[in-house]
Amino acid sequence: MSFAKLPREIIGCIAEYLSDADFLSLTSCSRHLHLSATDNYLWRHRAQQYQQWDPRRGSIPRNAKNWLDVYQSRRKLEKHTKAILDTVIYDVPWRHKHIFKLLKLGPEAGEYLEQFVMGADIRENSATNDDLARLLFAGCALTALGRQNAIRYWKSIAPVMANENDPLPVEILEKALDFSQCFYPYSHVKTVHPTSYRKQLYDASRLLLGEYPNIKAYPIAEQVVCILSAISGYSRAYPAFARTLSRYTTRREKYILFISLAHSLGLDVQSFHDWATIPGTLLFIPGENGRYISIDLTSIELEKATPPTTFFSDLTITRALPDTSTTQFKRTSGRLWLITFLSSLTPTNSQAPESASLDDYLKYAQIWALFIFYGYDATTPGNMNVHRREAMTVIDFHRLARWINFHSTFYELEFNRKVWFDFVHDHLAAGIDAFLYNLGTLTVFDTALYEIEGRSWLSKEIPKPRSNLLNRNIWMGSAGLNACGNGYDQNRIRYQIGDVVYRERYRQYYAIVGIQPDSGVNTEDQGPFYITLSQGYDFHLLKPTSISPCPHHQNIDPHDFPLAGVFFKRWDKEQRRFIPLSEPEDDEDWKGKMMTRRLSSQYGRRVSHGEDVAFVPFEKNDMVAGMEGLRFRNDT
Amino acid sequence: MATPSTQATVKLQSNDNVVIEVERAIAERSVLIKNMLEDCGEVTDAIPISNVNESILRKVIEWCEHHKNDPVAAENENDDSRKKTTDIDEWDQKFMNVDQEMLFEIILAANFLDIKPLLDTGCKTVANMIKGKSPEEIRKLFNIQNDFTPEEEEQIRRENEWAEDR
Repeated sequence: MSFAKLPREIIGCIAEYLSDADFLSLTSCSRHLHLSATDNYLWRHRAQQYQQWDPRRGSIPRNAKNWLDVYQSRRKLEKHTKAILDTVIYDVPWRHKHIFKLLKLGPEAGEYLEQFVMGADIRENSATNDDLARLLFAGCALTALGRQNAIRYWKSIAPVMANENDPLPVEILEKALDFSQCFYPYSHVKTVHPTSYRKQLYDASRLLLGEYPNIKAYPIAEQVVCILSAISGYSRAYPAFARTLSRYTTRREKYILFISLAHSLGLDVQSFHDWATIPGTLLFIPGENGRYISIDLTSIELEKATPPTTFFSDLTITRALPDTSTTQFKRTSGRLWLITFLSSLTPTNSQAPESASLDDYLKYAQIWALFIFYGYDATTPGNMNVHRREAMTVIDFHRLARWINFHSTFYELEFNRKVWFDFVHDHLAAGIDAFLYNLGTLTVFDTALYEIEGRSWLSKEIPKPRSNLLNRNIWMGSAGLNACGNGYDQNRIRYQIGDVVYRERYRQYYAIVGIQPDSGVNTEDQGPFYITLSQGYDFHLLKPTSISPCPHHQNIDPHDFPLAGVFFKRWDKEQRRFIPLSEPEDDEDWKGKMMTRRLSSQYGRRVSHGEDVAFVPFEKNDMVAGMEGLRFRNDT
Repeated sequence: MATPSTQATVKLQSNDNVVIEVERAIAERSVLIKNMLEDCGEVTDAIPISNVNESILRKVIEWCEHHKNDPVAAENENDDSRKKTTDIDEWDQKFMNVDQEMLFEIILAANFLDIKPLLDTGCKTVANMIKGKSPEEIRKLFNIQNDFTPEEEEQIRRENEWAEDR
């Protein structure tokens, strides 16, 4: 008896215990053995191994002509998934890229993850921390992919998390928290989550908290569960999420809360951290009964122990029925007025306006929301002065309030949570100061808004005029630029906000109003990007490679930047750059030099003050008066 | 239908006409014999096992004796645990430590007698021998004649490239 004479069925039997490579080396030994390699049944058997955990919902076809092909495609998928799984826990800066890739692989990748997750034992002694992290990541991914087995997985893992005697290492739990938050921004993909699944997952997480009270004693584990229910995208999860977070009072817990918030908003922690130093930055979370929970980020200051009650103060935003007559509300003029008005409210970077109470900020926020809703188009020349007077007479603040109220519920109800969340976060919570810096990106949400109104968020049918700006990262990054520092770059010339640069391709000069934070990788095409203001009303996002410093012989006329007054205090003749509003200055003199380029742009004429051109905000009295105008009348 | 207790032993006859008497419980590790006994009831004659010679039959019976108390794996039990691991317990390893010819005979006998665990053990042993070897090494190991032309071999090598990186 020799090996060559073994019947094919025995070869098939042996093949079950061989890896692909080993099996193929075996079959390439002789013609007789090679017959097995072309055995369709054998490959079918191998392919079907992939769905043993969930054969009914598996994506392996029942019949296939060439099972080798099926098997090979599954193997490829498995390889990709595995590669992602291996890198993602180490490659923190690019984690979202990996996750996005993973989610793009679709539910089939979930089958592999299931195999990975179910096959592993979290309590195995040989399991290293990395293994555990990988396991938890896979679990989170399963959840985000909407696999039924995710519920089974969390149920199986909860007792381990809740085990008091032998708890999982804290760093592992923190990783799990981290991962679960990573998936948060992707949970809006409706196709991945049918409502029933979301509800199921939410129920499961509630159940876990009920069944295993120890989880509550172990805050991180609780958060993991909580966030998972939030991943499910089930709207009822929000209040629970917020309540959970509000309970944490120690510094460490607060920090975790902080990170959670950042992650749950899809932000990198740094820029979020920076934002939180801007006084009065509010975060709104849709809560129960149409109320919004607002969180004052400054109160989460890590150094100061603040009682948890001040974290959340409920705001009631009364709902108003849509007034059909307002649909024809003069959009253009309204938003025009708003932009001029709001730019006059600029508080300095270092201190909040004296009147900055919560109410005031809320009003700011509402006005901003409206402003954004109208999609002020900062890029259209001549907008500013034409309609201003008209707008002043047209706007009824009461009506405005109703508008914004109507639209907040509209957002909440009509669009998915993600849009609402982004909307609130990006536009309302960033704080006025950071917001003004972001004027340059207004066009971004113009288009975004367009899509929202067309109800085709996420669809690609609507042309995106400025697709490069639509990239969310750019927007996010620029939002945080206020505190993100000026410029990066080790090798290249480093520009600062206020610098004037030359773009050779168009032979134009641009003033830098913002810098998109570095992506972490210093390659030719990646970060830092500069958000620049042209000698007109345009904003551009420029690669550092496309611009060069302004040549010295070139005479720059600051008047050529009509919107400069929104971003800069004044033009510095010595340094040949604009002085940003946020830059501290010893020289208080500029305040006294009245009348600005901005005003000249508003009134359509140039105002010159000898050699020194200064941009001056409105008088303080104007500002206060403006705030009073914002009070919403109670009478109807 | 006879109750199993009525008959304590069965006789098995190998293809070289040696009759071996074994306990019925041990013989019933073989699904083939078990079914046969269930179907025919009382069998007093020796059961001919036509494909298996004496030495192999004794070897198989030795295995059955050692494993007579193992729980019989349920038919539709999830096979994944069985599939995943190629670990063999110590006794089985020693048991399988025989020359190749014997090993293949045991596998064939196990297949014929339908003793799944023994077949698995045998296959695992062979699989462990193959693991990580190149085709050339496998040929040498099992003394297989290479009947491919160099062109064919090259083509197969190319076809199999997809599995290599792992």
